[in-house]
Amino acid sequence: MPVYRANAIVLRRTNLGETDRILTLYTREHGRLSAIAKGSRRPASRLAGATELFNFGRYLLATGKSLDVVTQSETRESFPNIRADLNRIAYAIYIVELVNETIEDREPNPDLFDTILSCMYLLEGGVDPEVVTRAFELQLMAASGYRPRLESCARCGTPTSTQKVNFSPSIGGVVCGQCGPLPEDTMTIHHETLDTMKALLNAEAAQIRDSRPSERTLDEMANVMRWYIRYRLERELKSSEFIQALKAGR
Amino acid sequence: MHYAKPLARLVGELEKLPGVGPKSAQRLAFHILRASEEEARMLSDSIIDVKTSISMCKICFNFTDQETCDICRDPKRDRSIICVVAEPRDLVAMEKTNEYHGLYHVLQGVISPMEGVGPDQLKIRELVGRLAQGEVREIILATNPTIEGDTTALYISRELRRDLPEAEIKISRIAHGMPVGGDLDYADQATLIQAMQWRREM
Repeated sequence: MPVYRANAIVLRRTNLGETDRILTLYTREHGRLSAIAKGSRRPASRLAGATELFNFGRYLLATGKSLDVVTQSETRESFPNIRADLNRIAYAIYIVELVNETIEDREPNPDLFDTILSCMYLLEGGVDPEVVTRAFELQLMAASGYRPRLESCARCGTPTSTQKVNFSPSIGGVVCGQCGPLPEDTMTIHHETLDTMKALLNAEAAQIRDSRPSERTLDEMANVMRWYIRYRLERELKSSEFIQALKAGR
Repeated sequence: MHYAKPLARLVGELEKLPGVGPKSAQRLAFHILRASEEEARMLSDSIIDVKTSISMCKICFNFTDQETCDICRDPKRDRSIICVVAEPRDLVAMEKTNEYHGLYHVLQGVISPMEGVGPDQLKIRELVGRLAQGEVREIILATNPTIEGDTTALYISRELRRDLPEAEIKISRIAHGMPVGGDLDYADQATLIQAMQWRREM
C-alpha cells in the first residue's frame, strides 16, 4: 500500500462498525478525501484525538482498495477555545459543513485550505464568529466560482451608488432595477452592508479581525448570504438550523 | 438464491442487522435451523417481548418494562443528584462502576447540527422540568468528550442558567483526560490540554 502525507482538517466523521470511523478530510495537498481511522473509537486509541471534527493535523495515509487508511496522525491544532463556546462551535460546524457541501473530491485548492484554517484560527482567537463566517462564505463562494457581483449591477453593469441597493441571489449580485424588472428574490440592503461585503470578500485575517460591522449590517449580510448560498446549493445547510435556534434563544 | 423460501427469508432478515453481512447471516440462519425448536422459540419470543413491553421511563427516559424504571423507583437512590447521559447504554456503563448512587436522565441522543439533530429532538425540556421541581442540587453532565457531546453539555448548562436562574443547582461535567493505561507520548494535544486543565490536587 503506497503511503502519502497530508495536512488536513476533519470536515466530517461517521462511525463504522464497533470501533472505527470514516473521516472526510480536507487536505491541502490532495483536496477532499475519505479515509478510515481504524480503532479510533477505543478509549486509548492513538488516532482518537485526530479524528475529532475540525481537528487540524498532519496525517499519514495509506492508499486502500476503496477507502484510504489513516495510519498515523499528529494534531497541530484542536481548537480548544472553539470547543469551549457554544456559539463558536455552532459557526465552526457550519463552516466545515459548508466546505463539505461545496467542494468536490480530490480537487486540491491550497488557497481555500489556508482560508478555512485562518477562519478557524480567528474563531479560536475570539473574533466575532458571525463576521468570520460571513467573510468565509463570501471567499468560499468566490473560490468555487460563485463570486457575487457587488461593484455594479450584475445584469447591466451600472455602478451602484444609491443609499439602498437591491441584491438578488438568482441574478448573482446587486441589481439596479433600471434595466428590467427586479427578480422575485430581490432583497433590499443598505449601502453600508454592501461595502462591508466587498471588504470581507477580499479581506485577510487581520482585516476580518478588525472589522466591526453594525448589528444591522450583520443581520442584512446573514440574510443575503443565507439566500445566496441556498440558491447555489439548492438546499439549506443542516447546521444553519442550529445557529438559528441559538439566535432565537438568545 | 439456493435456499428454501423460509430459510432465505430468515437470512434476509438477519442481514438487516447492523454489522451482519451475507456470510454471517447465513451462518446464524443455519445455527438457528439446527437449534432445538425451544431455543428458536425463546429467541423469537424475546424479540417480540422487547418490542411490546419496553418503553421509556416517564421520569428519566431510560428503557423500562414498567411505567418508571428500576432506578427511578429505588428508594435508596440519592434524589438530589442527576447524571445526564446521552444513551441508555451510557447509563449502563455508569452503573457498572458501582460508584454513583444518584438518579439519571437519558437525553436519547446528542445535539448534532450536521445530522440535523437539534435540542428539540432530545429530552432537554424534560430535564429542565425535572430540575424546576426543586429537589435536585447537582447535575453531572456525562456526555462524551466529542464536539457533539461538548455542544450538548454547553447547551444544557446555558438553558439551565437561563431558565432556572434562581435555582441553586451545581452543574458539573465529568472529567476528561488521559485514559487509564494510556500513553502520554501518544496523547493528542486536545487530550493533554484537558488533562492539565482538569488535574487535581494530591
